[in-house]
This record gives sequence, structure tokens and C-alpha cells, in this order.
Amino acid sequence: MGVHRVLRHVRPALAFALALVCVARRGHAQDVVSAPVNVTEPPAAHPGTPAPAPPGVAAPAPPAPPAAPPSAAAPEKPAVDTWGTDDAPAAPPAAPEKTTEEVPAGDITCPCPSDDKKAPTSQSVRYTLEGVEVRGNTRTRARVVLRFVPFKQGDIFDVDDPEVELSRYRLLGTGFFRDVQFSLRKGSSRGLVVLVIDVVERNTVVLNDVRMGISADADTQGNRRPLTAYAGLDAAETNLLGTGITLGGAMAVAQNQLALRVRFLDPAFLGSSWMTNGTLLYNDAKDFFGNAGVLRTDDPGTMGSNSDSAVVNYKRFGGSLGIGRDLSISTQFWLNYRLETIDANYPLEASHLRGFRREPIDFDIVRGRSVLSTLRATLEHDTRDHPFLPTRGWHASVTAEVGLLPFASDYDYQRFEVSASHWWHLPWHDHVLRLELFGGAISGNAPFFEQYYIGDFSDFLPSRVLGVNFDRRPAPNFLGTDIVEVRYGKYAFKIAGEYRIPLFRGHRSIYGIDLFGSAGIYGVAGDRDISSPPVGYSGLSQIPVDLTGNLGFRMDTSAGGFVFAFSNVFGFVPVRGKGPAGGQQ
Amino acid sequence: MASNSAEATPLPWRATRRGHWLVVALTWLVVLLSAGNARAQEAQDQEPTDTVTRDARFEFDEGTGLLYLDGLLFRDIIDPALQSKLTRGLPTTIVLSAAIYRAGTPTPLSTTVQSCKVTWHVWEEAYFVEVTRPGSTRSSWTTTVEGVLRRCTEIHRLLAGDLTQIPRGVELLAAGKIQVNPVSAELLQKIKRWVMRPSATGTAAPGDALFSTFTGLFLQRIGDAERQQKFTTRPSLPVVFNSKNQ
Repeated sequence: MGVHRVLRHVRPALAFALALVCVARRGHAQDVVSAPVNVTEPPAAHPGTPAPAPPGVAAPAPPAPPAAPPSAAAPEKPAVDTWGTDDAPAAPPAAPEKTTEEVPAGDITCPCPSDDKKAPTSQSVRYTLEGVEVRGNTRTRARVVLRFVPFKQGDIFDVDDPEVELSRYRLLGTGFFRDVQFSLRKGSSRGLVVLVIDVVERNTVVLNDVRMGISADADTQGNRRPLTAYAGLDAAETNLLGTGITLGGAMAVAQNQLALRVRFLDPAFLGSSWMTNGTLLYNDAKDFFGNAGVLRTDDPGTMGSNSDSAVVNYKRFGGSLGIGRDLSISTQFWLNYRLETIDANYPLEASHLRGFRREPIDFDIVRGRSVLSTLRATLEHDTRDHPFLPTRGWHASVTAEVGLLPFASDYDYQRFEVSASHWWHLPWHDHVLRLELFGGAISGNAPFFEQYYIGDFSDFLPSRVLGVNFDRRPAPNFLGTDIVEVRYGKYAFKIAGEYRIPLFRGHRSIYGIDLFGSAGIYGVAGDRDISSPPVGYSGLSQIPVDLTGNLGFRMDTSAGGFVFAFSNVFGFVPVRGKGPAGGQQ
Repeated sequence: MASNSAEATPLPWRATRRGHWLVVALTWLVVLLSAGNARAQEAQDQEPTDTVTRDARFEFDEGTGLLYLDGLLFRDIIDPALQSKLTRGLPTTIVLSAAIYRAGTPTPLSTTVQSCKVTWHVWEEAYFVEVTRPGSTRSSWTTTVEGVLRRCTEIHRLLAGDLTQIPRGVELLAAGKIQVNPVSAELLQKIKRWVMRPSATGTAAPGDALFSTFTGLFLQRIGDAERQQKFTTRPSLPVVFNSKNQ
């Protein structure tokens, strides 16, 4: 088919798109060309190209010297076609250039080898690896670098193997290095090469999390206080002593509350593909119970006194050990064992108005010292295209946890959770839609801090940080249900959607700013909320569900990802519905 | 351990509330200022990637009815840093893709592309250069960077269209981009997914507020190519010749 005929039938816009696709394919189609195809000479005639060896053949003999290697002293043969011939070559090689006829048989819009069987394609250049050399690593151990490189001594190394570039990005993705470059140098004999990996190390102390906010809590006597501030910080050294091990710490602080964490993660336990992690935790915290008309008694024989909340003061100390493994590039499995001692004290007796009825407050924690021992398994699947401003993909996890009563645990419970989020890139203006689903259930006697807390589901209340609860307020209750009577529950669900509008995209300092708005419905319920709903509610209002929503900006910056949301402020606007007995504000 | 001193001497409510609003206001001020500063910085950063006007000419072969793009040079793309990388033994690909426009109109009339792959053969100490253009692929050896630049960064007689696409006697211009080591969408997706879950590094978990402290830095550097420049040429009338008479 002639060029004219082809061009006549190809629309320009389509041709442009096809050409771009072909270029992209061209850049990588050569990666999969296993045998050289050249219409003028057999592959072996190409100087400098070691004889191709089939995969799996170990350390083949170095190829024979080429018949006509290029030489700086030899004149370079000028090109003979219609392009690139108007200037003299500087240092021509002796080997002849190989070319095909210009514009022979159509295919004008797509020079892809796979599309034009008549056109010659590139040779696959292969060597035998004599070794892998790591340079520039002053702190990071070479074995840590080699962990990310799938090539080893004796391998057949194809310079077009996409794994080469992928390995480079893997090393960059560790966060250990500012720059990574691969190169080849001659080995000890012809056909042998050494793969040289040049790295430039970077600071590996990273700030993972910063949180600040305001909350409404109560003092240790349960009397409400004006707004108080809270803050959290999480930082880590991700390449401890150049071993690739992460050692991190986190802290959350509010008035009369403190939480500390120390954690480590070894991504290659004893050089294997298994990961291990560990956490040490310490919480000196309090929590606030009671909806309305709280009466509490601290000493036996004394009359109960009124307060805004019944406060639990508790300390947690312990840790966890886990082992994990990558099941695929996007799927990971973890198994964690946790052991904690808990020391809790709270009013001897306390009651509150639940609906119209006065009921005792169940603090869901053992008074004095107790032990918590659990085993947790988590399967996580993550195909998002970006960690902070994803535009497509899934992020889903399934978690199962059991309290190990035989191992001295005072809490016998089982938990099962499923969560999933999916992002869609919408066809107009790069807008993004996210759908989020969560469902969880706990059976048994879980301590309150292991149960579902409404603040973790409603955007109008501060969520817990490192397990510490900063706020005494009930849920907003937009729907007028008995959600206002619930603080902790053993059953929870959430369905929410988020719409994101990109406002700015950059390459430095600030990578992206998106305006987002979200809305959803959630529910949190305890056993009693199901078996014995609070008096004063009827019909659908006995279902403890409510609406949540948020509005703000997500910013992805060189300093990290930030969320500036207004729901925390909205949460202080007194528009929420109260319970029939008048829930606290 | 949290201190109880604040509880013993509580601040007046009014002062506390004023303090909170001050913190909130300062926070927003810092954010807005940093955003504004970043925008200014972005403007500076993005200057080099703006469209560059390059010299080129068109030649129209009356004998064959083909239009050629000629004399388009972009040696400056291969700066000394990239030149030094050419001898690393791994392929470097330089791709030019362009669309031909009638001057003053936004719809492309035709398209063209040239891909140049350079591989340094460590044992031969020479570059193997493969240039792919519409309808042809050409391989050659050279021992110098100059030879590479001449083959890969100088466009001569690149087929760009024919009579069925290009009207006679009109001013034309070419616009497109030059990429060094373009990354395929498939590989890019694979890279990003892996970086998204750097499980072998165990750093911050996705969802952490500042998860992208390091991954974001890296992710943003993964573009469509190691280097990319958009270009356009000045409008010009094609020079007419007849290859059958030559």
C-alpha cells in the first residue's frame, strides 16, 4: 500500500495519537524484542554485541570479538539516505550503517517494529554479569541496596530489560536516596560487565504525621472545660544505621493526656522476604462517659454528685510484634500479637440519663490492673495511583482480631472489619470521585478504647490520635436519632462519598491543591442500643445513625500532605439535635 | 505525663478562646503565604518547560507529493549531564513527535515522529544508534557524542505529510515535544503502585497526614520522560522542489 493511500485514510488527529502511542511503544517495545532482526546483516555481525543466550543459561562463554568493531581512527561512512547527511561525521566507525529504504511500503504513521514487520528492529544487547557494584553509599549498606536489585553475578543482563529501570525507581522509592543511576563497565574479559549502581543518599528522617486541633473535654472531676488544644507528631528514621530498618516515634498530647509510641520495622527479616514490626506504647489518658444528668460516686457511702461527665483515667503500657509479607505488588498480609497492661480507675458508681431513663454507666474496662492480649491478621490491597491525591484505584483491607483469653488476657473479644475505598477519575476537568465503605463488628468484652468511637466516624468531632480521645461531646445528631446516646459501640458502618476538584498542580513546593467536599452516613451501636434502645425514641429514631460531611482543601506539598478542613470548626456550631433528656454540648 | 498545673490555674475563657482563634488565624496565614510563595516559585520552575520556538523549514516534493520537515535542531536538549549518561551502557531514547498545523488554525493537518535509541557498547566503546522514522529504521555506529548528537538531535527531511493532508501554498508550522527516555504508561503505573506501597521500606503508612513527605517528593519526579520540552516552529511557506527532476 502506498503512502498516499494510507495517508488519505488516516485522519490527522487519529494519526497524531497513533504516532504518540507508537513512540511510547517504540521506547519499550524493544524491551521485549528477544532476537535481533535486521534485513541487511545477521545479528552476529554487529560489533560489540555479545552472542544472545537463552534465558536461564548460566554464564555463557564470552562472545567472540566482532568482525568489524568501530574504531575512532577509521572514517565513518556517511549516511546514504535523504537525512542526516549534510554534515561530516566527527569520528566515523568502520562498521557500515544499516538502513532500510525511505518510505517504501506505507506505514507512515506508525514506525513501530511490531506494526511493520519489514522494518529492522534493534538488537537485544546482552552481557554476562560479572558482578554488581554499589557506589556512593556512605551510610546505607550495600546489601540493603542489592535487596532491591534482581540482578546477580552470572545472570544474563539485557540492557533493554524493563526491570533495570524499575529497579532504579524501586531504590528511589525507598526514600533512602536522592539520586540513583545504573551503568555498566567492562568486566574482566570480553562479554562480561559489572553493573554499577551509583547512589546519592538523602536525609532519611521523615515527618509522618502532624495533627493539631481544638476539642471540648472535661477535667478529671468530669466538669466541662472551655475549648482545649491537642496536638500529635509522628517522625521516623527510615534507614537506621544504613540497615533499611525504620525506627520511629510518635506523641500525642492534650491537657492531662499523653500518648507515646516507639516502633520499628525491618523490611527484610534476616534477609528474607518477610517483614517484621514492633511497637511500644504508653498512654496516660482519660475518657468521658455519660450523656446527660451524670451522677457519680467516688467513695462508698457518700452521696452521688452531679457532673458533666464520668471520667475514666487509665494508663496503657505494652507493645506488639508482627510479621508480614507482600503477596503481590499491591497486596500485603500482616499478623500481629499485642500485649498490654492496663491500669484504670473511674467512679465507684456512675449513672446518666439514657433517653428518659437513668441507667448505670458501663465503662467497659476492668477497674485496676488488667491485661490485654490479642492476635490480629490484616490483609490489605492498595492500587491507588497516588498516596495523598489518588485519582483511581482501590484501597481495601480486611482485619480480624481475637482476644487471647488463654494467654492471661482479661478481655475476651473478637473483631472483624472490612473497609474499601475506590477512586474514579471523572471525564470532566480531572475531577475525582471517591466512594468509601466500612463495616465492623465486635463480639465479647472489648475494652472501650478498642471499640468504635463516634468521633472516628463523624467529621464534626476530633478523631482519636494514638488511641487518645480528646473530646467529651456526643455526636451532632442531624437526623434526630439516638446516635446522641452513643459514644462507643461494638458495631459500626460508614458509607461516604467525596468529590475532589483540582485547583492547582505543580512540580515543586506544592504538587497539588484540591478542593474537596464529602458527605456520608454512619452508624455506631452497642449491644444495648440494639437489644434495649433508649427510652424516648421510637420508630426509625431508634437506629443510631447520623450524617457526616466535610469541606476543605487537600494539599500535597514537598513537606507532606495537609488537610485543611472546616468540619472541626462546624462541629462547634450548636446546631446539633439533643437527646430527649438534653444531651450535653 | 501530662501536667495538672493548667487545671490548677485555669486560663480565663475569653483569653483561651482568643488564643485558639489566634492559632487558627496564624495557621491559615502561614498556609496562604506558603501557597502564594509556592505559586510564584512554580511560575519560575515551569519556565524551562514552556514551549520553545525553534527554527525549521518545510520542503514540498512536487514529484512525490510529500512534505518534509527539515533543519530542526535540538542539541541543547542533551546537556552535559545527559551526555555523560550516554556512556552508561544502558539505552537512551530521544523522541521527537510533532503535528503540522496550518498557521493560525488549531487543528493538526498531519503528524510525524522520530525516535532515536542510543546504546553505548562497553566492550566496543562505541555508540549504537537506531533512528526510527516514518517508514524506516536505520542503525549505525559512532564513537563520539558528536556523532550521536548529529543523528539524534538534528532533523533532516523528516516525512511530515502529503498532498492529501497539506494544502498547497499555505504557511505551515510544526508543534510537538521532544522527550528523553519517555516512560511508558504501563511502566509508570507499575512504578507508582510500587512506590505507593514501599512495603520493603516500612516508612509512613498511606493515610498518614504526611505520608507523602518522601513519597510525594519522588512521585512528582516521575513524569512522562526523564526530560521533556515542548516546541513550536515559526510559520513558513514550504520550499518546493521536485525530486524527479534532480
